[in-house]
Amino acid sequence: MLELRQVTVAYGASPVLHSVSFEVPSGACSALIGANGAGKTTTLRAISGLVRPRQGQILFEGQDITNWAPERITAAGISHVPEGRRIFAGLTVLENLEVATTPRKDRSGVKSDLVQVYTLFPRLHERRTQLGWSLSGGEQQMLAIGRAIMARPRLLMLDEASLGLAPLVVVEVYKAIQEINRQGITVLLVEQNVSLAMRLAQWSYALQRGVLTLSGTTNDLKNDPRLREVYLGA
Amino acid sequence: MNELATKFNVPQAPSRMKGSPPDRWSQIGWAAALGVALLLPVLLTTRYQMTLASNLGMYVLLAVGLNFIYGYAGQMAFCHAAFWGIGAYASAIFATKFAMNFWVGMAAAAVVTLLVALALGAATLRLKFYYFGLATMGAGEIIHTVIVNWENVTGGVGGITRIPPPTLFGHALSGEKEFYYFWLAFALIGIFVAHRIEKSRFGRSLIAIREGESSAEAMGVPAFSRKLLALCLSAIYASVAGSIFASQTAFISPESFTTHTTITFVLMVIVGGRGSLPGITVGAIVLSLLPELLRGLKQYYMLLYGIAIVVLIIVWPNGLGGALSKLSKQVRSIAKGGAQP
Amino acid sequence: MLELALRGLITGGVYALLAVSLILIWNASGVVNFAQGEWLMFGAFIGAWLVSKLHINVVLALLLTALLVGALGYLLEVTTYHPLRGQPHKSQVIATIGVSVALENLAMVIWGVYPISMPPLFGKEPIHFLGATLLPQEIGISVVTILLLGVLGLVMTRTMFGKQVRAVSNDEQAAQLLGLPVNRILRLTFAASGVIAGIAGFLVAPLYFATTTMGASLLLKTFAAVVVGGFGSIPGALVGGFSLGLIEIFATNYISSAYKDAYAFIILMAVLIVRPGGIFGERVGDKV
Repeated sequence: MLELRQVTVAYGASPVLHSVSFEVPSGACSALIGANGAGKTTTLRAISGLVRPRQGQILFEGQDITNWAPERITAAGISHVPEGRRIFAGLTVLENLEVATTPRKDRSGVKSDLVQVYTLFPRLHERRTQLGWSLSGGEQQMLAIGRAIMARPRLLMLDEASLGLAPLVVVEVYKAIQEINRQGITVLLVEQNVSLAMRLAQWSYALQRGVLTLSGTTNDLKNDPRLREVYLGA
Repeated sequence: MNELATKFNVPQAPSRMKGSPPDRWSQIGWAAALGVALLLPVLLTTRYQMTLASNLGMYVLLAVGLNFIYGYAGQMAFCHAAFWGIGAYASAIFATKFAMNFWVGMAAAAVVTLLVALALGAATLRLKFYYFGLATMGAGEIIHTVIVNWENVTGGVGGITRIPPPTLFGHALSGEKEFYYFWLAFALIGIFVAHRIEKSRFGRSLIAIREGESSAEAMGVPAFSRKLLALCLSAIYASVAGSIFASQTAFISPESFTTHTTITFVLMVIVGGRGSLPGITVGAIVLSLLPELLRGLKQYYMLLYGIAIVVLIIVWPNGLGGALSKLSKQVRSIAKGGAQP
Repeated sequence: MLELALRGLITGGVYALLAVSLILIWNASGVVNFAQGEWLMFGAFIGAWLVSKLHINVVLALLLTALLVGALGYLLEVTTYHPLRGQPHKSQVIATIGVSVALENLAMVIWGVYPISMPPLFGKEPIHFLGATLLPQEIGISVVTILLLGVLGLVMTRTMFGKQVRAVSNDEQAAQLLGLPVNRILRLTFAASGVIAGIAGFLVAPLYFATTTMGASLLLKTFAAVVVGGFGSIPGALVGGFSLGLIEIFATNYISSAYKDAYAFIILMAVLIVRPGGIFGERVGDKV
């Protein structure tokens, strides 16, 4: 579904990603793991068009999207929930969800999708008229995810969805992510919390200082002795 | 929001000023410029050209002065014309009402301006970027209104007339040529002092504040007092320029000292390149001459002046200074034989 | 007393409109637009010129003015803001200063150095109201101001465009990730801001002469209104604008008229020094 071919990204002179290649299979849940600063967020930013790769290609459903503008990539079916949630603080919950439908061409499905988001996260329905900034961290994460699926993506990318959340809330959020995946949306997770990500993902890719060092099914990786290095960020 | 923005953006290494070895190229540049400046009156043919040239030193002095608070310390002070005006009015009043000697009057006026700057800075320098800009702009407007309305001291809209010229060893200055060299001397002293300050610890701490106030404070720079000192230096430069200006023109009125004028000075620093003394010197000269150079275009000249500024900022975001240092780097690498990519 | 209050509110309405138009751009782009005053000035000149020279119907002239100044706003985004995106806000702000110089002089090229006046719009017979005497056009101005602010409020809260503008203002990059056409939204925001400033100019034209420098001096005072309201909030800008109008007229009447032009700046400095977040505070999530 999504394929990176030898993608190199550099900020200024120093490369952050070195020739990274991997493929995200359709329908599955995959996880990109690695220590802080390994290049996970940069990978997502490159996929969604926020940074331009210096070299390499990014293909989505067979189409080369490497130099597309972010809004065109979103319209093509990739939604990116950024680290830190980045919800619109001055908009209500409902307005946050509404603006996210901008790239859609089918206006008719919006209502049913709204119902779907509210079913997934009943708490958002309770708080639909509240302004974004008044939500708790967990609610903000739910809204960020809900907002992303309002664009009807076929691929949903989540950056550090568990960061800074209470353990119970993490469970709730990850259950929802699982549910979204079950409904047929391909999921790509970025997590520092490696064990959490690997519990959910069928496929895993490990980044170490900008280089893809491990990739395969999660079960294979779990038994790989090199996984410890990924944890430690060595 | 800010925190997130930095997280999402490119991490930037804090730029550190290194004590650079005496640079041959820039020394040659300054020497050549000084030669041209000394010979300029000989080269100019018409009286009109000499009139234009006579004031160039003033603009350089004003822009180099503004550079302390705006260029080095990075605080957008919008009241430079007001400091200039206080200097002009104070020394004009000292000279006309108290028959004070020019040099004593200039020093006394500088003290007055300094006090105003201290009070203003103490009240506003803790504000963030835009707020400090707006507060100083408000202060400039208030000072202007006071000058207009305090009639028995400032002469109101009519201004002050018959201000005596400066005296130098008993000789009263007169004529464009004499004033040209007088301004030139002050501009050179101004640039030299600014250059020494730029290379001093104090100057480096100002630049550290511009690059990031909180990290500068973390390194032990007392940001507030350093900024206050920079504002005072700016004010003194402006005040001295005001004193000479008043005694050169013999007549001053409030309309010279508005926010509009301040914006001209700010543009000189911006176009020149904040923090770059050669750039700012050129910027001040170019921008003060630009309206005259474009005057042949009749009513379109000020329109083109505005457009030219926008284009300059888009083409050279770091000003002439930034463009110059880029160029000199290229020249140097060619001189060394290193091929430019 | 009532008459003074009403007059203050009318001038305050002009400040409020200019303040709101300024904040629209500030919120969306993080830029304080120094050309905003010149847009108002163009509104005044275009309005006065259409009505008194070309004798165009007032309503039509108002719409034309709004359209033309809106185009100026659109052009500012395309020619100045867009090429400087990614540069520090300081460069962008300075560029708008250059634009303001250019526009001021463009007006001088088009309309000459002499001020133009607009004839009274709705007759000259004063209207008496609860002991206050007002000119019909003063009432006209307040009606248009209120209508415009109402429409703006509806657009911002009820339409998709308004929500998109607010989303981009909150977090441009997140908006981009959600597939919002950020460039187009910014351009239209600049245009909308121009429309409001242009209408404000049209409204002041019958009150004052249209002069090429009117924009700059009104804008500087509007900064005071914006700061009072807490930089970044549209309701704050409204309250700030109206209160500035009131304070100015009462201070001029009861304290001293010589310092009429200084009150705005005294308030500006006092608020900044005492409460830099504005009297009404800042909403969480606002830029600054």
